[in-house]
Amino acid sequence: MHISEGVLSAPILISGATLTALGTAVGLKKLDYDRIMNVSIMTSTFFVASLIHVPLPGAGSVHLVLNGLMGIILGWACIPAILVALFLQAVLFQFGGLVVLGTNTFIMATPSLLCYLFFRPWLQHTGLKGKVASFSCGFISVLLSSIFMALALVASDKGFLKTSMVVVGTHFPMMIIEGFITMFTISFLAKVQPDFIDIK
Amino acid sequence: MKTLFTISFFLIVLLLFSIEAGAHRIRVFAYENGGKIYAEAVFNGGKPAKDSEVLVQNGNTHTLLYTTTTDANGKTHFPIPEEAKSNQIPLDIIVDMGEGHRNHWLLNPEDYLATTSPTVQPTKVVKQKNVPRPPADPVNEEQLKKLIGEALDEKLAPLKRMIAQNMEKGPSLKDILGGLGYIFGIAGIVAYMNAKKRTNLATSSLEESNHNG
Repeated sequence: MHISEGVLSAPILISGATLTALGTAVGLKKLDYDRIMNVSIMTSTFFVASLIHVPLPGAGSVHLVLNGLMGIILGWACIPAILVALFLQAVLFQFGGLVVLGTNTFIMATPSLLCYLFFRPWLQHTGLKGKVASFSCGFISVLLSSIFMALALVASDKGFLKTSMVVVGTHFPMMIIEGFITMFTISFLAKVQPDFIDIK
Repeated sequence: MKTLFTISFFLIVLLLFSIEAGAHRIRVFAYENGGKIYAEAVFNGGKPAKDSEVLVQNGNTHTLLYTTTTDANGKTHFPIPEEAKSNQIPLDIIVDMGEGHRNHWLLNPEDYLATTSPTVQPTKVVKQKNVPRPPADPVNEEQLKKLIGEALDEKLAPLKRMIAQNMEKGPSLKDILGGLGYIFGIAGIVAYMNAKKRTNLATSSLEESNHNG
């Protein structure tokens, strides 16, 4: 899910960085500073999750993203959180890169935010409705991220059909896995520690 | 607090999982053997990057010299481009997976011209000084050099590959723990600043109320 350095064109890099900067500003403004520890826990989770690889039959492997979970738990604060995690991944693991940091953050954080905003009313339910909503958050976040990624690659001139098929196709198993992980984590947290989830 | 412990527990479990897993990043390695350049691309986990686009560029000007694709084992080979041979330019071998994963390997002229070019020149030198030299067969000497060069290349290729592997190792536990430390450190600083701001506000409002009262 991390786009490497030297793949994207300048306009995509610049617009990604600008949108991420705006999102980060809003995210920091909306951040409830009493919940800073929750934010750092989720940032750590996201930071480590990218190291967990799920081998795919045939083509390589994909890693966990958990951006749906980030969105549900953090709301707007997921943008600065994902930015920090991706920055550290770029510096320490050489995943992605510093030049593509803005675009990568946009690709991963925007879907989480959109899912959070869209599914918020449903997520407050604890029953089946809540479960479906959290599964959808996990599923759709990865789906949207892979679509954004495909669009970024296409806009940088990379042969439309092939890339979008490859990107969305390879991430499809991930969408299901993430959906289940998000669903179980949210229903567990809702039982054990409902305060942890930012849904009001 | 209870949440913190639960979440920390999950984090540690995640961490244990992650240690064995490699990065989703490709590693490119290229070497010359017998006048051809061999390139291979693997994911850090060890899986070959198959059917990937391989671009051979002039390392100085970044003009494209040659394109090919990797086979099912993530390997490919191609003849040294003529332009590179005559101009002694570094070759930048780029492997692009087409889904945003891309890496490169720089092959310097001394790396790929070492065994091919010197074979022509020594013959002249040897022939010129043929008379005062001991009666060693110049052709055999030259052939021997070439043979040794080829054999060395063959033997050294896995070693070179190993060095390349070690140069681009996946994240170590040190990196992971360091990153987690940074995250909690940043959060700690933010929390501290926030607490300070709050106490300042509280004391100023207290002073104000005292003043009014």
